Amino acid sequence: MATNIPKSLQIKNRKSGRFRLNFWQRKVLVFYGFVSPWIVGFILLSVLPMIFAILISFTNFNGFDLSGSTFIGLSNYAEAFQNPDAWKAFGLTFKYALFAIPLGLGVALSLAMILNIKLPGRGIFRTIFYLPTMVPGVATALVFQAILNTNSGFLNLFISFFRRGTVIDWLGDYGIACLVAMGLWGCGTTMVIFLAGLQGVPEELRESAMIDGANKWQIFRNITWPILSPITYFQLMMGIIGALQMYVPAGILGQSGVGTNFWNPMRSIFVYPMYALSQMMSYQRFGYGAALIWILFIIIMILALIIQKTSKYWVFYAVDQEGGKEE
Amino acid sequence: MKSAAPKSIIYTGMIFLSILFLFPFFWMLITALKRPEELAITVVFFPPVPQWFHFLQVLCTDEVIPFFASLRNTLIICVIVTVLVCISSAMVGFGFGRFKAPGKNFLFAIVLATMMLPQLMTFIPQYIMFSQLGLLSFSWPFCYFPWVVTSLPGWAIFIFYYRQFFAGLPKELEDAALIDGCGWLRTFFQIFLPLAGPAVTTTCIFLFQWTYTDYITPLLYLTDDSQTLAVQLMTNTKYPGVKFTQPIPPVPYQMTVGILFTLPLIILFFFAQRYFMQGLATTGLKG
Repeated sequence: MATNIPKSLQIKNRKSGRFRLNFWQRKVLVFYGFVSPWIVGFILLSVLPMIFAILISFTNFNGFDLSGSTFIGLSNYAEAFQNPDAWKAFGLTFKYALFAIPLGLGVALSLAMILNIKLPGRGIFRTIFYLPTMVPGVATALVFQAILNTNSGFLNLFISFFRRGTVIDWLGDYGIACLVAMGLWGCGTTMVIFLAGLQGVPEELRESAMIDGANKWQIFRNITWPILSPITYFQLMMGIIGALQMYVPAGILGQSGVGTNFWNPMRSIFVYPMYALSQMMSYQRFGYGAALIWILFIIIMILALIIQKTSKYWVFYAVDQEGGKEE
Repeated sequence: MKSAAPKSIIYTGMIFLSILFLFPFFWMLITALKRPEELAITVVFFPPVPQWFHFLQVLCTDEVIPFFASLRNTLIICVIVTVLVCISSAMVGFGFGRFKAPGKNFLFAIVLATMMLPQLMTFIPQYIMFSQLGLLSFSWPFCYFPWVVTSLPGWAIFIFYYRQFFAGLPKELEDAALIDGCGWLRTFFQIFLPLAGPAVTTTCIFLFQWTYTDYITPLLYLTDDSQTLAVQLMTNTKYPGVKFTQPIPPVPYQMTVGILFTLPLIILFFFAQRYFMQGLATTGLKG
């Protein structure tokens, strides 16, 4: 039947039937169909909560009674800047970021550079350094508590062999150092990423530089680093975001005893996000907590922007990066 | 390395560092084998009598912790998150990798930007929204519904990963399928998803690891009976021995549970080491 109808007529008939899209227009619709789960999720689970957070940061919302809360303007933000506890908590978070990020990147890069030397058995070392990242955070915190505990921890027992009766309150007095050490134990992830980047350094380039009489530093500076710098940039970005909002390891490490409320403010390592969350979960001050988190978010965004703006001075992109972006 | 001297220095350093990295594993076991009193009252360096039965106590009785019930809850969440995030990230990644459409680049820029969005930012407002909607008052097993909701949109990092993967496949694939009258959804599920086998494996392994170890989300969303192992380990481990006037912290028992909790991941790592390394290399490289 259909074969008898002239082609031109066929199309006309179809068009007159209903509104019809051509192949490309349909493809656009199919595209939006495929990405719709993410669009809907982004609006409902990211945009909406963020707007909600900024709205409640201007109220005294207590977490349960939305209609009973009143608009109190900027006073949550004003309190955040005046409260000494907030400053103290932020100081700890800042100190943590200041040590954890450079040390984490530095140790991971050094380990990666050593493991990139072709030595027998480097696979075993790579596995050993990566293994700690498989340990769940709770177990990591528990074992570091067992090492750093004042009375029964390994470190104090070990030092007591040399200086009897050593009781150093590691978690209390050097809490941030303990956290940094715990973070370094899990530097395997970054190390493997750097290692993968190092394996992308062309061997011929290094050899020809060596023949031309370049020393080790010159090779690193001019061949290895340009290839590693985009990775470092990404890791630095992620490191800043991660370190400034870090609270779960601090919360568990600073917890004393089983069954203590996680949101209890009485703990040895009280970082800024922990302070914000305990204001919400322990004191029902959701408005104040939301304001604190928004302040942190703005700080993170400013730092990210600064790094992004300065990246053109130290991050090298290969020429084909632009061409490879879009097909 | 030409001479032998730097080589031996490197090996010495590496072995020293290896000992440092492996020591916490060793101390975990030592602590698990102590009696709780040996940590709280009379402190000892090594347990005089290793308490291997701690492992049996945890596995065979519910006196210390409801181990298998908690593990089951953990695994339910792991399956929900792994399956849903993997499929929907692949779908969204497929959309970004294989189509040309107005607004695509803008949307993809937002996907990349959400990778930078602190999780802390949306975490509590989401919790308040869920609780206001009444999603948190369901009983087992429907109490895991929030994970379904949060998993359905996919995760930005995996969307990016799949986009890179699908964009690299030849153009003829979908042309052939479409000419044969295969719909887009079928093209995706029957042609592209099977081709993405290695990417799917990598994604699943990472998702499983992250969900398995997650502490804060279950702590906030779940209550006692539906709670996961990570939280039970921290909040609900008991010392099932004699009752003392002063409660003795059950640290060795916690450590025993911690070892049993970690072991599946370590085993998984040795089986899937290749996927871990590859996955990190490809997701971490191209920021």
